[in-house]
Order: sequence, then C-alpha cells, then structure tokens
Amino acid sequence: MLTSDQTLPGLSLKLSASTKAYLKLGACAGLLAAGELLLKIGATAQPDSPMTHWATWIGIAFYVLNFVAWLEALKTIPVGIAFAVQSIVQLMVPISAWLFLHEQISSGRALGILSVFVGVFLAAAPSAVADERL
Amino acid sequence: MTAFTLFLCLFCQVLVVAGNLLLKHAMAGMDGQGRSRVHTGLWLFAGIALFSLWFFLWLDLLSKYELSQLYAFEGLAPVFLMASAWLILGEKVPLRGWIGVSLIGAGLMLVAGA
Repeated sequence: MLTSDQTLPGLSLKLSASTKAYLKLGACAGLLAAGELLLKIGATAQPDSPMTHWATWIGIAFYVLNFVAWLEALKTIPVGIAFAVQSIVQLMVPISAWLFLHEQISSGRALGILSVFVGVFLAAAPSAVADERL
Repeated sequence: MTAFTLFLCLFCQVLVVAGNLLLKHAMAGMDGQGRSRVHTGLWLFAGIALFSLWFFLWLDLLSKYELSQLYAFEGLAPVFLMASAWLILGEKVPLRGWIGVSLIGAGLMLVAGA
C-alpha cells in the first residue's frame, strides 16, 4: 500500500512533465509555422519596407517565443526526438501557405517537399548527434 | 529560380545553422561552464549578427518568392549540421544520414525547378 502510494504520484508527475515538454514542442511547431506565414504576409504587403507592417513584428515575436519554448522542451526531450518531431514543420508551412495564402503547389513541388520532409525526418538522429558535438 | 536565388537560399541556411551554434555556445558560457565573459559576449554578438543578416535576406526572398517553395530550403539545416561535424570534428555520417541528405537534395532540386 505504502509503496504504491509513493510510486503513483511520482509516476504521474513524471508523465505530466514529459507531456508538458511535448506540448511545448508542439507549440514550437505551431509558432514556427505561424511565424513564417506572418513574415511572408509582411514581406508581400510591403516588399520595400516589411518592417513597417504589423505582420512582420508579430512574426518576429512568434520566432522569439518559439526559441524560448524550444529551449524549455529540450530540458526534457532528447535533441534527436525533438528534431524528428520538428520535421513536421516542413509540411505544415507549405500546407498553410496553400490554405491561407492560396499558393499554387505543383505536383513536382509537392513531391520535392515530401522528399525533403522524409529526408529531414531520417536525418534527425544523426544531425542531433552533430549538433550536440559541435 | 535563378542561380543567384538558389545561392541566397543556401547562404540563408548557413547563417541559421552558424547562428544557432554560436548562440548555443554563448548560452553555455552564461550557465557558467568556465568560459570568459568576453568570449561569451563575442559569441552572443556574432550569433545575433548572423541572425539579423539572415532575417533581412529571408524577408527579401519572401517578398519575391512563394513560401511553399522557399521553406523547403530549411531542410538544409540538418545537412549543414552533419557536414560541419564531418569537416570540423571528423565525425562520420551514418547511412541513415546519407539517405536523408540524398532525399533532401533530390527534393530541393524538384522544388527549385517547380
């Protein structure tokens, strides 16, 4: 009885800590994709002076938040796994560009994007090792 | 995409990878892992400088090209990381890494052409 009482709270605490870390990683992906979209909106609306457009500044804020959330998530999640999860952004960005900015994606480009995504996913573990050593 | 645009896309990713590594080392210095303050400050400054250069280059590219085309080049980051570890530290790239690099390279050729 005593052991299970002692183990259970500890276990649930551990689970929630890793769940929190994955939520942060998910937030990173969302912030990064939304940030790119906002920078694109700012750069397209004011090609000569993108810094005068509100979207550019919100994009920058999202980038900074992404950086903070990324560092927080990495306290719990190994870099290799974080890189692998983050590779989904390679798909999120073009899909949101298609959905929200109405960009036309040819079949050739779609195939290329898919190939890059699989490549980044496969290279996540070895590039994380490289990142840790450098 | 013109050859110059392609070069700019590659250069942008070099800046991102180098900037990330510089900031990482600067922050390790701030945690008090035995590096001098001058060193830490230099790394921090260099990292921020590279990111600023990247930011304005990237905004310029974004004003001219589609996001779905440009963003694919972010896939170069793992390639440059592995290449740096190989060139600087002599780290071997495992088969998994080579397959990844090939897929990223082939994908980018398709994206650059389409």
